[in-house]
Amino acid sequence: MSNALIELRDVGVCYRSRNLFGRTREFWALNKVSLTLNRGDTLGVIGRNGVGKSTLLKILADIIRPDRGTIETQDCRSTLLSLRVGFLNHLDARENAIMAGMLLGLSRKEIESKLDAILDFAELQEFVNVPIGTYSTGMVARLGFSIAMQIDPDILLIDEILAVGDENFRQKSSQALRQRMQSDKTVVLVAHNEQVIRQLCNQVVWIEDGQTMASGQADTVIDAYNSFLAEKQAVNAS
Amino acid sequence: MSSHYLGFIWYRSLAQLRSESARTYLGYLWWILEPLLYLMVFYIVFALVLNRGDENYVQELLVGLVVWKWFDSSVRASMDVIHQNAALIDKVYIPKIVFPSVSVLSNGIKFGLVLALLLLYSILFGSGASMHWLALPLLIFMQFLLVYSVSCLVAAITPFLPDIKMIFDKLMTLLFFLSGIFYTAESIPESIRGYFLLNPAFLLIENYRDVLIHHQWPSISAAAYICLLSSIVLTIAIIILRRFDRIYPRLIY
Repeated sequence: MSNALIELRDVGVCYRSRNLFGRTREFWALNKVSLTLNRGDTLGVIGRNGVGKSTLLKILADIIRPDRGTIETQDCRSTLLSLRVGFLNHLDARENAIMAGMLLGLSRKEIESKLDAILDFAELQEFVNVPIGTYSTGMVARLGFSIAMQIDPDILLIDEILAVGDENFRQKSSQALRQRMQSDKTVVLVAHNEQVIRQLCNQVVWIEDGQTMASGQADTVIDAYNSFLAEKQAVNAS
Repeated sequence: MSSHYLGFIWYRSLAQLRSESARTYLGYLWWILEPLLYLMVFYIVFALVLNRGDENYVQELLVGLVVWKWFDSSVRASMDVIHQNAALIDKVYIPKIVFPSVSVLSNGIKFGLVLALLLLYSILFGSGASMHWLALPLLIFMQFLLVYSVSCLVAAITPFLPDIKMIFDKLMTLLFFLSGIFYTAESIPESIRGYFLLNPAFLLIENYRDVLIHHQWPSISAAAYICLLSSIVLTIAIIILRRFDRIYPRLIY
């Protein structure tokens, strides 16, 4: 048995839109993507906008299933880091945290025992009893982030959320995430910041036009990606 | 569905009710006020303006309206419920049957309250209580099956065909007039009464009236018919919801 948690082979996802006369337009958001995610990996996903990185995360989170290709997974729970799962604006932080925690797989008891830690980390203790509709965007993001940090999935999927809130909280949240990635947690990270990827990821997959262009050691793949971008730019300029 | 999601449905239903009442000044009071106003409208039109019916008419009308309301509000809420939760469905996997379940349960809680008021009314101003009221749990169970099956079915279908919501909406209005809410079986010409008896909502309301007003036991054949039909519809709905559980996130954006 390998220690691969998830293995994708030639995975494709097709979005079909139909108009009045039944003509179907097909769009392959992912075409032929292969990757292996090992236990303890921090896997970076790079590529330009619209090449299917977010679709890939949805497959890894088991939100959607691909139209072709195979997925082999071990019994594990993967969760997409998101800042407001099922929040209701008229309810307070406590109730929303319980609901979000249950959605993310914790039992009500488990999430209730973590409530104080969540509110402490989010620095929202004094705003506990007001509806979150009155919160600022940053405060909601802080709450969402703190909930996500208390969920301990086997695989954490991150779509460009690397830090939230004001300067102070950005540092704190970024540090918490980095700790996760540098520990033996399994993380998949979509990001555009090359420095971050080089620093945090031991494996990188580069996706272009729904296909895996390269995968492997972070530095090698990022260098290949950069020379590809430079080439594109040169072609566009001429 | 695992017990984890049953817990979530319960918590979410209560949360939604709390959230709804937090939106208004009178809050929970609306749980009673809203149905009272709703009943009042029909009372004014049918009992006062059209001056219909005998001594039992008001009670018959109330039973019809109260029973209909759980069905109507749940099915209408379920039509759009997967679409409304698009942002959630896009971020985390959740069995889609959870959403119509929340609609049915939160409206069911409101129904329970109104039913209690209706029973109180029947004791104080209506035909009084009798041992036949013991059949109420059976009626409520049948009603739950009917409401739940149709709610799940419309929730399962509308994401594929958003246009069908308009049709469902008008069908619900048609069904409202065909379900014997402001009239009873006796007032239907005998030649067409048989067709009405095929409508499970009509049968359900008639059975409620038998038990609550006429002090009779519910009809076993009607109960069997409602349960069988609802079970078939529910099975179909569950098959669709499960089959496309991971397709729905791709239909809505």
